Amino acid sequence: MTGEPLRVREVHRTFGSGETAVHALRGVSLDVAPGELVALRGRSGSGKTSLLNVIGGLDRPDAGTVHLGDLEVTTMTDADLLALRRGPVSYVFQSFGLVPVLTARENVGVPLRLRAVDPAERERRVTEALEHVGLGGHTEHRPDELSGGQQQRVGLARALVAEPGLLLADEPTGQLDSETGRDIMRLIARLAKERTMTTLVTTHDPALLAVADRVVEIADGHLVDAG
Amino acid sequence: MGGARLLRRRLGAHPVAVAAITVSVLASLVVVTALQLLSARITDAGVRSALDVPPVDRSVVVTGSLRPGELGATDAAVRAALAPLAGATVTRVGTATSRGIAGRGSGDRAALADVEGLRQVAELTAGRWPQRPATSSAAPRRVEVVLPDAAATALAVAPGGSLDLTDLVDPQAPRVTAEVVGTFRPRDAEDGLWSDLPLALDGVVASDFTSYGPFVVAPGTFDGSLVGTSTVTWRAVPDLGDVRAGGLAGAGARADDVLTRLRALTGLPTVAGVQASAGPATVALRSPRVASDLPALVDGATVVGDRVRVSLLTPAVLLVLLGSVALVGAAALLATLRDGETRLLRVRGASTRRLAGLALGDAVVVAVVGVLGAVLVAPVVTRAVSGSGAWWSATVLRDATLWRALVPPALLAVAVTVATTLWVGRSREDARSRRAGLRLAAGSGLDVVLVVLGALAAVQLRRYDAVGQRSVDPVTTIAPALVVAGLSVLALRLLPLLARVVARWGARRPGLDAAWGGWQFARRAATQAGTLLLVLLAVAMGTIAFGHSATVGRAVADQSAFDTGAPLRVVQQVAGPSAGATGALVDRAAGDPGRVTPVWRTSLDLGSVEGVTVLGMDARAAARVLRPRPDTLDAPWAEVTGRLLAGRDLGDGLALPGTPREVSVTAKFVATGSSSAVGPEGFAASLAVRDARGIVTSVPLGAVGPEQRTLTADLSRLGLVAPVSVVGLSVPLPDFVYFFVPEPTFELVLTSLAADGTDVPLGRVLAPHSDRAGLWLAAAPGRTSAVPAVVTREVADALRTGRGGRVTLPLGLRELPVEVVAVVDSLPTAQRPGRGVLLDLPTVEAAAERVGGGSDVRSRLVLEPQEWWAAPADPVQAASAVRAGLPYGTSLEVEDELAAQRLRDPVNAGMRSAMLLVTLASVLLAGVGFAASTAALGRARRHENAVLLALGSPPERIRAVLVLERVLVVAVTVVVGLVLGVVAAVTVVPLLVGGDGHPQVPPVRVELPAGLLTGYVLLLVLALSAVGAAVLRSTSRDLAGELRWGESP
Repeated sequence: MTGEPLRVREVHRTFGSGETAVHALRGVSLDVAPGELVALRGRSGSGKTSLLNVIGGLDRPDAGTVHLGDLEVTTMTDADLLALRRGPVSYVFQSFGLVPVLTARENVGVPLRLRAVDPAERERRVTEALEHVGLGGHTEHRPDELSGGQQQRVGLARALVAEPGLLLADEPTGQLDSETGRDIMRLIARLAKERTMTTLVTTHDPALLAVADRVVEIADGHLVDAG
Repeated sequence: MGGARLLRRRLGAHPVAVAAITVSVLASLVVVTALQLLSARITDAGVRSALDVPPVDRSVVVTGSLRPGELGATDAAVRAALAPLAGATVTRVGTATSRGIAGRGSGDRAALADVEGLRQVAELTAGRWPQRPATSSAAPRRVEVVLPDAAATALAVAPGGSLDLTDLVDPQAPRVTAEVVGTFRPRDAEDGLWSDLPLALDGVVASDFTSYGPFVVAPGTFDGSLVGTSTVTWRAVPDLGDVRAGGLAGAGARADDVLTRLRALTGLPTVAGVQASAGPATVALRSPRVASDLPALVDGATVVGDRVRVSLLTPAVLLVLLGSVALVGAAALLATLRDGETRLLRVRGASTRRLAGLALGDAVVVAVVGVLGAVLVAPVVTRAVSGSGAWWSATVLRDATLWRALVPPALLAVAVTVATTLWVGRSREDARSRRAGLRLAAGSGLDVVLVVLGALAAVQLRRYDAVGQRSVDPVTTIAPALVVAGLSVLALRLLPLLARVVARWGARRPGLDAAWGGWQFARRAATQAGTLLLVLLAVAMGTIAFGHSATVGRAVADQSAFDTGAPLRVVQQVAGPSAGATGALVDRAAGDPGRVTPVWRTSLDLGSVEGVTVLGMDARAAARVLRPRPDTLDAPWAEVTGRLLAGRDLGDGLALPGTPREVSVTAKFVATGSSSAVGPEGFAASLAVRDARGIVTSVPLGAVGPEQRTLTADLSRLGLVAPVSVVGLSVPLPDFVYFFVPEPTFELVLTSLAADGTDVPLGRVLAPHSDRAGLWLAAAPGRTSAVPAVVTREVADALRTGRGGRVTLPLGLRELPVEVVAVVDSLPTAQRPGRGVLLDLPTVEAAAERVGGGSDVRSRLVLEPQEWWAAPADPVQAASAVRAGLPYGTSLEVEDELAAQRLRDPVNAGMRSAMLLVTLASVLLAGVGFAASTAALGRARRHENAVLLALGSPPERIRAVLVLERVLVVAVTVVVGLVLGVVAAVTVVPLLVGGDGHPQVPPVRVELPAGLLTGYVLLLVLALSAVGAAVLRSTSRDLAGELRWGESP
């Protein structure tokens, strides 16, 4: 699948109510072109992850709309959202999100199993994805036998194997050293370009922003700079 | 923050996990404590039951011979030696050489007895008790005696009458006149005194001689010059009614002390382990013998007590194991919930000691709650289960048993809680080393070691049956727990292999569910260990409990059937004229004579085998009346009785019409030699009749004289079953006949015979015979050459014979050849279960006549039945009918009543209740532990589940897979648990069943109620699955929060 344009309009999201209410998003609007890699920068608690969750259908906004291509994410049913996450949208997590008891190959194969892809096809695509992220020689290793960087590559391969149109990566280098983090960011950028994949990456590490096509600042639930 | 406030806040923060811990501790402590309280009660009941034996089996007996004038000092010395047996009843029986009875046959004997204590165990039925003859140096010519009713009736003498007794050794010695001043009958046939004077129960014992008596003289009469040497037996019967488990050692020591004193007194070697040398006797007792089963009885009771204790300790240990596992699960859940708090404390510098202190505080609070709860609840549970004692009283606080039972598991609970908390906290930091540790444990063969240890302990457990095995070693007690633990670890090793197969199968499929479940189960086996153990133990405990309950029911039924022999058993313990009436009563009550068999019983030595019980019964009826357990036979019972009947040939008989009430005989004897000695009064004759059962009964006919007389035999009270036939008419001749007529030439002439007034053609059925002992008419005997016999294996082995082999059975002076037609493990009602011979009584009587036995043998051997065994269609109604008409001296035993009584026995009832209590506690603990471990599992998987959700997996599907995984774990474990339970039940249940002190004959056969067990495990699977589903449903749905789990800020 090639990248889809992402269009976010006036998205609001508040957690809790009354005096303890936390306004995570306050009328956020954002457009990301197909194949574009946008870095979403901001401090902890600024609303980066909340925006990603709303875009990816893991959370629903209180107001506003999110469109991915022709699909309006915000009005989808739960089942449609699940289908969305099995296909057009993929995630990369800060804590890698790998299942400890599964090998790299098995972890990467999970999204394809959820789509009941034919086993032979599944294995071909898993092998290809792992080779793309440079882990062709570590397919049978379990997460605790891999370094942090390797684990995140597995997480990336799992995201790519479903051939998404939109890749959402939440602090993908948050638990890596700076050198490894740069490698991962370069890898994401390369793959995004190769696959013309719309990519939104959150980070608060300035050194990693260089690989992005565009950097967007978010603070207190507002987009500060969309340039 | 104050310590108490901190504790309150810590415990209040996670109420569900704290409640799980509290329930685990409380349930374990309550049940373990209740079991121990129950154990004390059941042990006492078991000891009481073991000591509740007939007086003869708990007596101390001293026997020896004395000459006149020696009784006083010896009696005082013996009684002094018996003094430590406080409260014992001491009786003394002196017997002397039998005397002849003037005017009666040469085979008639009078047995004299000098009894101290007769008045306490017998009641006068007429007249008064005898008094000692006036003191005189010369032998008394007259002596006052009392006779048992049966003897008085047989001798046709009443109070006021007398009999002249002759000296059999010296015919020239002056006769002694026995003045009968009274008659008596025994109050209780089981009283110990009658074992020293068995003749008193029958009054008459006919074998090769006919003994009448005992002619009981006043106490001390033998110390004069009435008799020469007499054999005197002192019997002390201690009252053991108040002896409890704690008093057994004292009772045993007193018994040993008394035996040592008596042996020293009589000059016997003191073999009670004190000294082995014999000193000089200090009393004049010749050929002394000191005997007692009391030490063995006390030893046996001690074994019973130990067995009950160990039997209840075993489920208690299993319960502690199960409670510990449940507690570990709950404590691990709490530790997991507090993970963040713990990490924060560590970050802020809290040491391990500080964390341990906090955990200790939590654990102590929970343990105190558990202890208080147990103190309040355990006595109530004990009362509810045992059905006796107070529900609760403050005195329970002073009960050392309660605290001994309570404190160790409470301390264990504290240790387990603290250790689990620290272990979980540390293992989260070092998961890799934890897995390595588990791999090491599994790989080191720990499971094999535990299973081998358990098997060895199980073997030891089985050997516990051996009498004399008194110690309760720890290995024996924890054997089932070792087996359970070993098999559980083994299951932990095997189940992942099974899961791997499932995972491989699932991995080849396109979908995720099967592969996911397989991967999780196969690769996270260690996390399932708690669940496995809980379910294994709950299933194992249930299997043991249900198996125990069913086995007790079966064993009690088996043992009751063995003890009674038939659904109804009537025993004539004291002889009387009512034997026939008793038989008729049983026949009427049973409604069908074919459901009743008269039983004749004797005990004899066969070669080297002593005390073999010989039973003679109507084998045709026995096929229906007796129902021996098939596994104790070498062929079906119908076939065995068929083999007994195969040899039945009863010979001829003069058939009588119907069931005659009386038979009139016109007869005389013809003396062809000198008849000067034969007076006109003639000689007593008897008529032998045989009924449809083939059993011969001898009926008094009156005196046959030289002139023709018509005599009448009353058959109305004999309970005969048609058709009836006359098989003989005999006239024993007194000795003096031969004294005057050296060459007897008598012949008995039967002129006519009528039954109820109807003449019966005589034909040539009854042929005349005569010898020195008498003259008789007899029908031709059967042609059976060897009587078919069923013998027990022990007897067959000792005689080195088997089916088809022939042995000789001594019956009086006859040597009866018998052929073994079947070998069985045991015979019901045999005194020693493994030593018995079963014969067809009619065949025996017919064959015995054919065999003969020398000149002193009477014409026909009549073996009078003393028992009637019945299998009526309605045993309850029949028992009621028999009981309503039961004559004096007979007792009724009802198999079902005996079984019901034994089921109510405190040991059996208590053990069943205890086992069910443990099972209920197991299920409760399994439920709590399973819920806690499921909650912990759900929590541990939440991040993975959130990732799956993020990848597009439906939440209900994730939960379904998780629930299915738990159900599969439970289901597979239940199967393993059943196997384990069966192994444990087969090992443990026979011991639990044997705790009531009754001999287990036939041996206990473990019964496992398949239907009940299937229902139990299905319910368990359903209940645990429901618990698992409910717990997993409540897991967090905060998807976004879970996805950020473990992230750095």
